Amino acid sequence: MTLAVERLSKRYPVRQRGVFGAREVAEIRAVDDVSFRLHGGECLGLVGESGCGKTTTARAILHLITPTAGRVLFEGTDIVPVLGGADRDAALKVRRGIQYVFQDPYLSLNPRWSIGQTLLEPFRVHAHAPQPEWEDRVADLLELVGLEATHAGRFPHEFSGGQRQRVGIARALAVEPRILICDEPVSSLDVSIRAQILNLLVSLQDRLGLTYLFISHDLASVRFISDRVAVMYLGRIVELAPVEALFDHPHHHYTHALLQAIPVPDPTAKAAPVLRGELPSAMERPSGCRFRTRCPAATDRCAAEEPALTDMGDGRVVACHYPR
Amino acid sequence: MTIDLLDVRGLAVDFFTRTGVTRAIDGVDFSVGRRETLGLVGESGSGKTLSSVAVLRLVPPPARITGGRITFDGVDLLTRPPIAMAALRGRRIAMVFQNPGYSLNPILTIGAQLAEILVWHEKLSRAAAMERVAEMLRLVGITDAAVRLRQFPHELSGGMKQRICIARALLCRPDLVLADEPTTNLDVTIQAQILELLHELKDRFATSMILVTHDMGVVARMADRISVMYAGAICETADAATIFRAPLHPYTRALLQSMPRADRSYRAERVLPVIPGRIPSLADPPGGCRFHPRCPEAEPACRHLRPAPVEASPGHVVSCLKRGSPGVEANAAA
Repeated sequence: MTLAVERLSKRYPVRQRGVFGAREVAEIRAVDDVSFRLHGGECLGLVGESGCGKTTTARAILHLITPTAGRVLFEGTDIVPVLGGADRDAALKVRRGIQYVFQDPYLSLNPRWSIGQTLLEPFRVHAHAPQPEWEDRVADLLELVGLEATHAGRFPHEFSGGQRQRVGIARALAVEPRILICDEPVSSLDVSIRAQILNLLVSLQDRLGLTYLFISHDLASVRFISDRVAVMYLGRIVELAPVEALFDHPHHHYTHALLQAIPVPDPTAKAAPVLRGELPSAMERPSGCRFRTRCPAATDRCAAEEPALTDMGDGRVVACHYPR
Repeated sequence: MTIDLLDVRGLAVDFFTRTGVTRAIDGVDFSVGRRETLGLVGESGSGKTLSSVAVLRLVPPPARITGGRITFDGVDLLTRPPIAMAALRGRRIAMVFQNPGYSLNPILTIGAQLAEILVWHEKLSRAAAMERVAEMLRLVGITDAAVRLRQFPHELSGGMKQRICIARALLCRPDLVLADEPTTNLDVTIQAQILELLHELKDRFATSMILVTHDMGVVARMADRISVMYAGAICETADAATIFRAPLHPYTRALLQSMPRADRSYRAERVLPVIPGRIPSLADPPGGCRFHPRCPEAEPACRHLRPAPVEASPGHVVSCLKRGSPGVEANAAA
């Protein structure tokens, strides 16, 4: 096991200004008590709709957002205090192990830096290789992600979205991490380019023995790349299972509804029944089970009692009183 | 043969830039029958949006429509005076845009901006217009219409805003709705709701629709016929079942194969078939067949001959030299 996330939470207080200053009236639990393990060499997909907390979870792991509570164990040590602490060298060491690939390849590259400058930056920060080697290493990185060494002199605007995402991946790989957290890495790409990047991620995983946390709302990409999949709803994991089991036999009603809602590229497919209602606002979290306001199987018990994540034995955990 | 509601023939759109004129949309043909939904599918830069807004003559500069015929209900729209187009837009042909957040006016209430349409097109009084708007909001599944009328766009969720935009498009009971990626910014469960709604309303109002999308799943769910676009040209047009079951054009085939699917297992194979290379820019499309640099079947002739559409079987039109299309010298254009 490489990474263990234990009871990770991120809460945002909601303040209201009054005569006597601001007071806290509510809190938004963007990530609420999330636990999962990431095994070495696997790809764990993290799916859910917007606002479910999947990106917040990923960012909290790397301390890009300070978590409110919880532990993140990387090779046995809790990295939350390390990344939030004053010891820069210790924090850098952790960051060498876990890197982040951002969603938007247009916003995550400095437009005024050449690709070479962007890729040299990790070497400057981490100084993990002797300086004379840097240029060669950058050239190797570019070739590793399917670009050419000569691209180092070019600027982001000269590249297409798919090529920029390749640069984003190369930048993350510069420090030879063991874990890549990929936050919607293919969501802004066209279909024909998406397949190229997904194939690249798979081949890099095989060649470099990488472990992925793959965050996406695109369930088709997740099915292709993941070994296991966790489904989030309103800040909580509602189901986590091996990919085939989850897609073929979802146990949580939300997972089922999510899978049913994907339009199938087959004109003869019957339209599935549609999940009613919208995601409740993060401030008005339903009592008990968070999904009960939209769940076809909800009873009074679901309003009274929040279901805990229960081990179903086959590598699956589900938080539901009445699993399918 | 019945006469189509909309018939676009040989549509050409050119980009006029400082460096010269490039032909972005090159001889695009499509038609929409009454009550029919045509899916216009393609990746970014395929010209699907440009072709659809061309129907309303709303092509943004530096692009300009430079050729072709757009016949709507028997009238050539390209020769109509601007005032006649203004009377048509929103009344007989309406649009649903991709981003409902940007296409609603942030400083007007929902009621005010929707009622305005009826006051303008149908010369209704404000009160009567408000009543019609409320009725339409209920039809698009908004239960508390009276409250929503007084709200501003920022107070509504994305799904709700898209429902409002659909209501806005249907206010004047148009003959044709152009829906440009109407669900692309929505979550998958909300997308399913909006697609169901569009389906329902199209039947109810007997509206024809052009659905512009990059999502093969969405188009399979919604369209009767599909035109696949690539780099400003249509590769293939056929009924929806044929496009998915027996596609002829190499691009259509490759597109369908390269798409990961949620309904199939990838345990056995860990590699997706890909279309090599990158999507060309509309401002600088390749010569000859525009797909030739990425086509697995390309041969030398594809580099300089533009394939003209040919009917491979009744209703199935394909533009590919390898499928029997006659080749046209590319230099004839522009």
